[in-house]
Amino acid sequence: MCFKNLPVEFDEHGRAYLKEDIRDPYGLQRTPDLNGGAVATLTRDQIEDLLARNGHIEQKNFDPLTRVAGALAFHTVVDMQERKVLESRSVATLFRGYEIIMMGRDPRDAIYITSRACGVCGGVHSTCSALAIEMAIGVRPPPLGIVLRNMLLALEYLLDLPLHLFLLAGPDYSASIVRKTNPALWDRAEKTEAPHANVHGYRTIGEIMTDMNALTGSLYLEALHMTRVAKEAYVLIGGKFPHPQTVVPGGISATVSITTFNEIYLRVQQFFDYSKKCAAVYDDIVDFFYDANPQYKDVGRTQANLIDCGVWDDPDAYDATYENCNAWGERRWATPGVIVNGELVTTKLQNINVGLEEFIEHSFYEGWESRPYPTDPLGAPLSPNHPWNKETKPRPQAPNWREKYTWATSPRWDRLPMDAECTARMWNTAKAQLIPENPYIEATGQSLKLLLPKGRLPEMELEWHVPDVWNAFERNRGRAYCVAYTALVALLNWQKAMSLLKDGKDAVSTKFDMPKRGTQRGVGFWGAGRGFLTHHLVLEKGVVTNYQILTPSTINASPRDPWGTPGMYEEAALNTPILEDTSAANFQGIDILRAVRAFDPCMPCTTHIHHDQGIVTREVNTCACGAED
Amino acid sequence: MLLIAGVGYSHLRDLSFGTEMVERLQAMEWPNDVRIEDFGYGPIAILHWFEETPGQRFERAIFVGAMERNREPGTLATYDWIPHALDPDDVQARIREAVTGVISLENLLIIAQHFDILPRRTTVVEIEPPDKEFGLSLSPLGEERMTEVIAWIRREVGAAAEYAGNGKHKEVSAR
Repeated sequence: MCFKNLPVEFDEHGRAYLKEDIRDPYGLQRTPDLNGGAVATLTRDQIEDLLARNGHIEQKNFDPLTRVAGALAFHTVVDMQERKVLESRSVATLFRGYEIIMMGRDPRDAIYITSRACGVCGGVHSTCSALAIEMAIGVRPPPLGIVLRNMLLALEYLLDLPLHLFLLAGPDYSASIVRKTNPALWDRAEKTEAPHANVHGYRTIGEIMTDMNALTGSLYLEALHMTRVAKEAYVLIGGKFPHPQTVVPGGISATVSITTFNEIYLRVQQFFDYSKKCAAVYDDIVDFFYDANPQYKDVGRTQANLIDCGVWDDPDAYDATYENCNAWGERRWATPGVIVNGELVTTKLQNINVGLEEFIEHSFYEGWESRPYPTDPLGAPLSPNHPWNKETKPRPQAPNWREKYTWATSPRWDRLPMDAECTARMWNTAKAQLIPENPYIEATGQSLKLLLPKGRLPEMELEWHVPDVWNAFERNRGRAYCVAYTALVALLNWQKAMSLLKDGKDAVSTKFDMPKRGTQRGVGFWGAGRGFLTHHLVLEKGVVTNYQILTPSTINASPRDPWGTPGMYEEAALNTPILEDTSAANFQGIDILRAVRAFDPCMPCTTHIHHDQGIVTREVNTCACGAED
Repeated sequence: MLLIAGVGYSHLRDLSFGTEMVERLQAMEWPNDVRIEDFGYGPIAILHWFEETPGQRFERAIFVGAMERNREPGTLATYDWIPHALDPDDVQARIREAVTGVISLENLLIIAQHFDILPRRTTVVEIEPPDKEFGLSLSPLGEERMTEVIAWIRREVGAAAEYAGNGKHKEVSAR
């Protein structure tokens, strides 16, 4: 029984059904049980009253000053005396409208059009789209096609993760920032020995922080180089980056040979040592901050509610059907799942799908009346707010904190706000212990053991532990370990590919015909480098009549829901103590920025913090994904 | 070796001036020491391209693209890029944009200067885009400017003496 709030129960065969005798079962009257995760929020009237009566309570706005494009603004009200955040609002400032662009098109266009939802992770959208089409039209790729897809996306994550760790979030922990925001912490860092010096080579925490400096730090520059290594391997399968040309329903259209795989291996193996270094650096940085001030555990703290569809299909299990999605989903190298308050409540893709709803009460959209699909293809009940039932009806208007203030919607699972970031991949896999038998990755129930081959550094077993607090630092640590996890999955799939080639199983795609009549539904369950991704698709007479994309940043950047529960960025900021040691006039907002940036918001949105003195100090990035639909 | 590159997004009418130009130049005859490249992608990927061959071989580069600077629509600006002091925060901001997918001529120039990968002489040709809507074709004014720019490039290359400026060509310093 994984649902606490939705009116869905399961019979003795595990089949979901709608609870009986509930009037308006999907109505909004009942306030969801947040499982202890409620966040104290003030009403807008209370906030306005506080602002009017107290000079030390100030609005701190992270507003976009975009040279080229913009997507995320972040509004906060901060009590500068008590050093805490009283209000936070996440504002997606762009309407992307891929759902509308897709209407009436041949579904194969989606592979190329939706890829443009993101300038970093186009391949995940192409792939997710291909998965949705495969399900809708019933085409199963050959084993090598599935393995190549796994490798392509592992390589995409291998360029995405270093970007986050050292180019986007990393500078928040660099010497130049820490010196400016917390001088005493910098003094301590210079004197504190780094526990993993034997892995990363830095004697002190101060040395690590210095090499995390933007533009000049060697960790920064090395990450830039590693993104290139991953891209070089990526284009051997995808043809080009960031929008691959070879992703098709039924597999991959690239021609591959032993030479291709040799070239890929030369790049993948560079990530074995690199991932050891990433984990060691972030272990030392995170533990240093905790030791220096345990209050850092509250920066970006949220309830541990995480959702992920899992990624990397087992070529012997994946058959592209919704009917068997629970079985093939649980055979993935990253297990699908939902974590509520730290505990795994389901690993079934069908439950993940049935639990999804998207609300627009605080978003610039109109509601919709129709509910064409009261159930999924297996008869499980679906909410009127489920993506297969949703209509995208944009209604631009002036933002109003009491009503509508963003282009992002409020996706919820079982009416709970969810963190859709990639550490969920490891959390689910560690807890579920369903990962296919393999020599490198072991799930223990509370941790994931990652055995990395020898390179210049010796063979090494890393162990990522399910954290006891879920905050900005653990999000970053999780991503650092995800580099190792992803590199090992790339290696496993490389070995599988070589074995298939050796056996002469070199087909990379399956032929198919597009249906010209009837109605078909499909859903792509996948993940971006930064987390959860679904594409829901409806076809009628061979053309798209509904297309809905749910991305990690859509979920994380969501505004309040119909019951007033904040989205993840908002909750993370509300729980963040102001620990920076600067005067009000020099306020940098570093703790709030760390809280939001740890989610890896990715769209280029040059978002600057300014306050009443109008001082522009820092930037935030968010994702094309976040502003979508 | 001379590199001629168009920078920008596709399918945005005059905002796609650079990439549209590349398509047209690629259909023409050029001397062996001229290379035409589509730089309709992120500056960091272009940085990687420059770091290895053939990127390292160029003595001169001409970058062409649309830039919105509130000038009269259709204004063409041609200038040599002179390396100058850069604000590190600004460079980092542009790198953030670059790695998250933004394609921008100015970001490219600043990032490329920071990493010291520009050819010894780099010339920029900018157009103030008259039409910035979604669409496949240039505006009539954009078409006029395209003819001028291609003629100017051919003259620079010395491949043909077809330059026939109409007097509207306006050289301004954008910096």
